[in-house]
Amino acid sequence: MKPYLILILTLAFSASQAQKFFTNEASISFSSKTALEDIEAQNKKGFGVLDVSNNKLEFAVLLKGFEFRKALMQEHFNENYVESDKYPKATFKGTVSNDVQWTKDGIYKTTIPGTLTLHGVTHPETATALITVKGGVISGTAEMQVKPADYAIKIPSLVVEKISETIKVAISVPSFAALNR
Amino acid sequence: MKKKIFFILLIAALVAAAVAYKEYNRKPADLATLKPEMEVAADDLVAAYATDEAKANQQYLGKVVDVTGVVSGGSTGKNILLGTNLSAKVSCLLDSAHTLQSTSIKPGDKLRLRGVCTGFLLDVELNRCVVVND
Repeated sequence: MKPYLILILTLAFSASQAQKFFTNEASISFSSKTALEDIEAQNKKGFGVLDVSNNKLEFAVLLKGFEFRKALMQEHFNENYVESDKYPKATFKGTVSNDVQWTKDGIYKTTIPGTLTLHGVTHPETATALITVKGGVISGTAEMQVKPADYAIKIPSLVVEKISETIKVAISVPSFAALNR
Repeated sequence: MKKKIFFILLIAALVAAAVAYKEYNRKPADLATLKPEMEVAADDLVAAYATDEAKANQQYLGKVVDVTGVVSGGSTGKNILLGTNLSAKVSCLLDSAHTLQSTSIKPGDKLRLRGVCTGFLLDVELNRCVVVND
């Protein structure tokens, strides 16, 4: 019933405790730019877990937590597009490709192939990321291009020109904390 | 007569345009100005989600909720944690227009926060929170 808590506890009790990191302040934003309109939204409470022993990375975000400047856009997003009453969460599960050396300071450019589950649909997506390791602290940013059509998100024909076919999603983690709660 | 009708229609059109413009540009409401849809104690809210997330969502998801509880450690100037449950709290992200209020908040304080419930990850999440003074 508490999948994320169970995940955390499972990871916390495993032998290699220093290998799991998490954040609950990941900033996740998306933007759509068309000739008619720029739409942006931000969520400041993304949840992420990183396991450096197998490079697995998972993010979860509550869709109602996306803040728009215009209330009408936020309402349309929640009620009509992502139907957040039915599907309150979006999750990304991926594996960081092998370029990153987690114990060596550096800035690593990497890709993270995985799947995104949104609006009840799971679809493969690959994020490109910049991961910084400095003094034992892991931080990073990532980006992916998401097509609403891949997730059965219906944009009414009246506004289809105002929303771009591909939405840029950006994730920013100021720092991952070692797992202990 | 025709001129009169023209002017009435023109005014009606301008009013309609003004209303549409205002609605289009409407910003999300400051929760300090709204009445809460329900009130709940922080520990009860956490218990509801821990027992049955789907049922708790039916009750609380997307609603403006007043949550009362004890401020927990881990709270910051922007995000206040309420509740005494060891495994999960109510995590209240303060409305960016109201973060000034948080400078005097310490763990152990009893608070009433109003926010929109966005669901459950590690904690019950509330957004656009404002401190409510009884």
